[in-house]
Amino acid sequence: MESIIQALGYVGHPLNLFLIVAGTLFGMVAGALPGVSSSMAIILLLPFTYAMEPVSAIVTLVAVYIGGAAGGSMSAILLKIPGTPEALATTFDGHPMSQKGQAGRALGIAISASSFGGIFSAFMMVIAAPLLAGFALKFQSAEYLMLAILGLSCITSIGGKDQLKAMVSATLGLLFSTIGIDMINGANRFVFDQPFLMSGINYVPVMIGVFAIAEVYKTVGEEYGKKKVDMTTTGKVSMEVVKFVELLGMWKTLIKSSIIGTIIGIIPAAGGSIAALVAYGEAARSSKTPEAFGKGAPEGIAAPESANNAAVGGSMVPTMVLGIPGSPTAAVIMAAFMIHGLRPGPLLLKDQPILLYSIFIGIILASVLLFVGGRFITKEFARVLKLPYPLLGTLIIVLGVVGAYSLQNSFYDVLIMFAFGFIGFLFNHFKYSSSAFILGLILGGIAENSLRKQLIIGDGSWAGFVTRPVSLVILALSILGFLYPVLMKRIAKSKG
Amino acid sequence: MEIIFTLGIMAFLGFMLFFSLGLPAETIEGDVLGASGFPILVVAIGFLLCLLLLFKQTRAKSNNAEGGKKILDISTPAGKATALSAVSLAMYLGIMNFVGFIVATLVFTILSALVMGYRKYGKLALFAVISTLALFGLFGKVFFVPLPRGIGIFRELSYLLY
Repeated sequence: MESIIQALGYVGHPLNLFLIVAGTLFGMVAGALPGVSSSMAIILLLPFTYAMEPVSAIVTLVAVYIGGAAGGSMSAILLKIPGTPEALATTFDGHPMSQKGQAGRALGIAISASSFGGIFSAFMMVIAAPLLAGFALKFQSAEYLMLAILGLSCITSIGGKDQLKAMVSATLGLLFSTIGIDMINGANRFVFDQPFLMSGINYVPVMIGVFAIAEVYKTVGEEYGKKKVDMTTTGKVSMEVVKFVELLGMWKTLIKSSIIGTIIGIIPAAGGSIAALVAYGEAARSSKTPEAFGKGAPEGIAAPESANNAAVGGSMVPTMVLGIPGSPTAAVIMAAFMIHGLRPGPLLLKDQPILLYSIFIGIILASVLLFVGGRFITKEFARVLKLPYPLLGTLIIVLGVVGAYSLQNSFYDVLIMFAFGFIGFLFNHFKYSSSAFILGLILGGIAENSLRKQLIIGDGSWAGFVTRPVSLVILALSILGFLYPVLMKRIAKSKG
Repeated sequence: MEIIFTLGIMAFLGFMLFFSLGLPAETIEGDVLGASGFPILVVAIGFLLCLLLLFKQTRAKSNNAEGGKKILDISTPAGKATALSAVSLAMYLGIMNFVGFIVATLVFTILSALVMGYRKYGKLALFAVISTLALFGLFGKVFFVPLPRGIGIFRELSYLLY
């Protein structure tokens, strides 16, 4: 209790409060810009923290992390460009809701859910950090594979009317994920002597291409010459404060997604994007109206957003307790720990309880601040929606180009974005699923590497996937998640 | 048209299968799949799904109006605008490394908006300048992204700004 009071004193200092506000806003702006990740924002801010007290520095960086995880939803909802990979699943329902003229509501749900997820994971972090960290260590290759399969199982939920085409799309995504140097034996695969293909195809430029660029082509094709193109809303767009009753109506989704986010966040290297996809799939599977998913379902926004922000708190658990970063962004924060003379590991919690509680309070404060920052930044960001479509479409393309380029300062990423703009256009025309394609591309690497690592551990035996209890449970959930929407569709069809 | 697209996907899968077969198989003990195993597995699943899709599409061919729709009808103004949007983006990317980010973005913004049917020239010029400078400021100055500088005089001039 004494430590909590001391931590409150530290974080409550006006300078620290200012740093948390600035960090959250900076993170939100960075998150909203495609190609600028939370980790990049933290790296840029890191030198400014050198002269700070360790608690101030870490709390500021954690605030950037929280802001970044929530900020990605803004461009996902308004422009169909996921600002961060974690916001991919938010695009599935956020943009359709925005196109119905409810952009403010979509943003309100996203920010409220992000806040909830952040606060939930902060409590989980304090209550059960050592226990959860121990659980994370039980995750081995078999469980990672099953996690990827669980993420892939939501294809049937996002597939809409044509689930077969969604499956073909996901298969193509999986195939594209194999391009580059094989991580197990170092063989070049489908590189065709092109050095830029050796590191594989990054999914961020692909995401920008198939979503944003293809959408511009589609809109130009459909709306050219019309006096007014109603993209989202004709009036002012600002984040709506979601009524408490509406949030209460989604309590199951919020809690379940936050649990999923926290757990997946804890697992090293799994990260917020997988958490968001798994939470989305689970929300669609357990919904009474699964057919509404992909068309602007509120739960389809709440689930990924609460999960990806819960993954922030979750990823801090192994970082602090075990010294193993739970995500690339947590790895940068871990570097900040060391710069400030703090050694993450089991002794950190024992020696620096105030730090743990300060981070806990910092996450809660930053999560609450998302509401305030969200209202302000969203209002400014949404001004672009009032532009006539030729200007908005052009801005989307330029933003996509700069976003793809900024990722690795590579022009090849821009060319990849350009090529995938055409593929996305064809996918839209023939009603294939760009979302399922991206899902395959993101999860392909983790699926293949985990599959082969487990086979190596088992000396070529496949038994390890079903003899490990956690792996078996996730596999069962995946099968259920995959078949449920298909069966429901069949049952609904047979009932007429 | 839909059937042709599915056949195109199958051709791509065949292409990937051809190269997968040339990849090394088991090189590490226990790695029974090797570098080629996973792609071959995915291609096999892809083929199976495409065959099912082809079967479905062939059955539905007679009453599928969408299937006959052209991908891009450049004889219509909308089709022409879409095609020109893609061409202008290709040109933008083509000139960026020669004239630098700022000049290329200014030119592209004007060209692209005109192609998409915008005709208020004064507002367009203002928009092009503001949006280019805003993006340059955010990415180039705040996030230190080394935006392309171009070559020759454009490169020299860029050093005055970033």
